[in-house]
Amino acid sequence: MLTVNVRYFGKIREILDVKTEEYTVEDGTKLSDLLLKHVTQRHREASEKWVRTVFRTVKGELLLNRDGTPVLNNHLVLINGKSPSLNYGLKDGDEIAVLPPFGGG
Amino acid sequence: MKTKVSETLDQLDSLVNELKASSDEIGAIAIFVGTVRGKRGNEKVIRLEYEAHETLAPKAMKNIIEDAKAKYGLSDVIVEHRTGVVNVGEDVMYVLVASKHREEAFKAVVEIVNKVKHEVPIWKKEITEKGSYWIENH
Repeated sequence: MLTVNVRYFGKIREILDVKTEEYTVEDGTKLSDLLLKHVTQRHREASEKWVRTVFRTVKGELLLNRDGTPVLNNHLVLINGKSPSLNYGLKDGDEIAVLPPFGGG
Repeated sequence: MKTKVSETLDQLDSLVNELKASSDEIGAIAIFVGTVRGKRGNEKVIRLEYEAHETLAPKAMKNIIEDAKAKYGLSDVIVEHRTGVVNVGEDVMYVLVASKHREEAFKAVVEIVNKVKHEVPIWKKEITEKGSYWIENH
């Protein structure tokens, strides 16, 4: 098992009603699994809005790349400050940040 | 170079003096002041609420400043942005660009302001008399 920390900002933080949380998941879990399976399981009431906001959907279904990975909806997901593929295999201690489109100024 | 992402901004005149004191080659300082508008279309705005990624926001500002200094040969740049609650009429962002001549300062201040809006992890919620909205810069 491995444990990661997830931080949410702006609209996303408001949708899930949490700033930061920990997930302990099985070895080999991908970033996309964390965001689509584990986050939605923990936040069942907000899950539909979460998926619709963070990922691109067509008629309620996830839009997938040719390799089967989902497509982010103008959001940025950083792990330890870098932007990996959603196929990234999580490592123990990863610091994940989910960033909505920016709105400064 | 100076960046600040905080609940308060420094005094504008002290920032100008800081730039003037940094070099005797400065002949122009272009300043942008972002303030909170009281209207969103026909809706009355009550306040804005900002949040930022506390480590990545200053880092992104520094990258923007370094790029602009290299591109325009600027003497120095200061970027400050508020977080937390900002009321109508209050200042929310300062960009000060110091250079030898005015042309590059004018060009750089526009470019830096646009980049801060699009490349710095800061989020803004607008609270009006009718509701609240997360504003995204496109």
